[in-house]
Amino acid sequence: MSNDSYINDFVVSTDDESSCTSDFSQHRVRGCFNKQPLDHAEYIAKTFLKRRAVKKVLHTNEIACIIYVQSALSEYLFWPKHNALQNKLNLNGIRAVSLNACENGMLRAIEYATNFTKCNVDKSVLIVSSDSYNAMRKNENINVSSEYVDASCALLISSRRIGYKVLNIIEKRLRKRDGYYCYPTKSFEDIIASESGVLEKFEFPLPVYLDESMIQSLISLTKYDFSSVNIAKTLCVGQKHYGTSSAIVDLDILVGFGNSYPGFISSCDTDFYAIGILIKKGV
Amino acid sequence: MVYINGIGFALPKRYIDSHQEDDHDQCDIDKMIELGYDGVYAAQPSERETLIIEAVNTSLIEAEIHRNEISCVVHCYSATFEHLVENQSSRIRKLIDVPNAGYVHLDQGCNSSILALEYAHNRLRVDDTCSSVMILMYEFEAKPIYDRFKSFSSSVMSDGACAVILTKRKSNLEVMATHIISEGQYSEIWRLLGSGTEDFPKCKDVLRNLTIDVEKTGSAIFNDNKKKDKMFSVLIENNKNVYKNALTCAGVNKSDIDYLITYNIGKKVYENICAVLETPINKTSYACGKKYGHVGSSDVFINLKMSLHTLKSNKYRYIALFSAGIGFSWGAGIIKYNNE
Repeated sequence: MSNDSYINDFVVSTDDESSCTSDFSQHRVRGCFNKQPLDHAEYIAKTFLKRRAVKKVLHTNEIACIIYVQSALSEYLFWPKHNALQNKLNLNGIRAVSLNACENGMLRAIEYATNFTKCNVDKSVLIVSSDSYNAMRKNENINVSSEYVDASCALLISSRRIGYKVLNIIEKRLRKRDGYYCYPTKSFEDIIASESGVLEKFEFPLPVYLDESMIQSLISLTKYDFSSVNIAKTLCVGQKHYGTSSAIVDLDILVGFGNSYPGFISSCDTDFYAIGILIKKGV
Repeated sequence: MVYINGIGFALPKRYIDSHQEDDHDQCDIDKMIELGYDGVYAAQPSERETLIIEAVNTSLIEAEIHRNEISCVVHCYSATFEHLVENQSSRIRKLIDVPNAGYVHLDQGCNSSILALEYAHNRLRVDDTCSSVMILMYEFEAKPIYDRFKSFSSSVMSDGACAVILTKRKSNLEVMATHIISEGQYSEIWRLLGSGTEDFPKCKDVLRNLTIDVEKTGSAIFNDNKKKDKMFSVLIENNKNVYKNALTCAGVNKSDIDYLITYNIGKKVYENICAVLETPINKTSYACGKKYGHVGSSDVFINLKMSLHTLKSNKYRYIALFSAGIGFSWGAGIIKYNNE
């Protein structure tokens, strides 16, 4: 145990074979798609917890928190799905939390888990994410800049010195006051009372992406030299979009780079509020 | 160490007094009286955003901190369709104008406040770049999800907003410890089917499933005495455990706690909680909270602020916070009151 936090292990599953190259296959597992996001989440979490690497480091009763990172889509109007997931995983009695922040949700979850494990050095946090984009792909009202791919992932964070050390977590509002792409112009009651679909009444987000200058601006907040950091760009225009699992797909790509760490994962949400996480393999 | 430096809250103009029969236009006064509430607040839709801004501004003034200095806002919400969460949150970000803060969105229903307190407590202790956290809570009900006047058999929802600022700068409210427990085996009670991932929900689906009818969604449990008894035993154990664990983390005994500040659940459940936590009701915030109903996650901090005079005049030292939320979840926090 240490006063630092580590991503001890992770798995990711995406519904496109092409992104799963042999170079980056260490953390790839077969997925369970064409079901509801919660079923994806259950499947990937159970698969993850059975992994030898995880079983080796994880002690009984060590998981003190499960975070379900979810995007804004599912078949239910209202449901504490983090509770549903903890029940499916037989993890009742610990903290269960949902984090919704579009694609920033995953990096926010890592930040949450890092703080938690630094304050509770004998505990682990399990993060699970899943997305299903059938509806978004079909909706003509949504102007999307990327190809949406269903994906899910699971990762374990603790103070145990195994895996990938979280060096820095930084946050920055990249552009002040010209964001706010995604907020309703109508009141709740107006939306409910309208004749057409609920979400059609929204100003849906314009393309959200991080360009190189934004990433450079984020890394400049750390003590690291921009040129010495491997970078995974989450949510760039034209790239495939793995929803809340995007950052972990990128983490898998960083792992594929080899030993030339540190590596940097970043994402931003609809207000151009960005989070970047710098990681390094081992201690 | 982490301290609470400012608490701001704002309640609507309209107060529905359960003892004033003239005011009971849409309200089940008998139920309100049965649950032990003196009344509830009801906001006009146009009033809601003003109340949120007022709560935020009051907390900033009380904490003597400029809005530009806030590092992080923890946005607690409940009773909102998940599809609207991110959109609503973006709007609130713009409204409250805290330009340099990062945003965290947490939802454990009415327990979100103590979950947020735990997040703030952890983050301020370990993150050198974070100097202040604002917790923002509000509850405005009129359907969907909850009908403020009919809500549950255990409480009647009320409207209001609350903001709390925590920093590392010393104040008379020191956060010593928090603990959270969640239980998923009864989560189906709050599952409202809308549409599906094949299509976005349409209004007809939303309208069909507009409110939670706990009696209906939980009928499989409530109509089976064995299952019901088992559920209540789980709830009681978790009430006890979350409190016990928070006390252990703080390194204080139950007998050290001078005052218990809770959420504003109805009287019957409240009395059961007091019995389980072995705390006399006159050593709790009950008398304070019954005046204005259940303002969701805001209850605990509104009651804390309203109780400051009691804490000071009685020279209380250790204060416990306790709350519970849908899902289920439970939260407890231990606060040291520096009575100087």
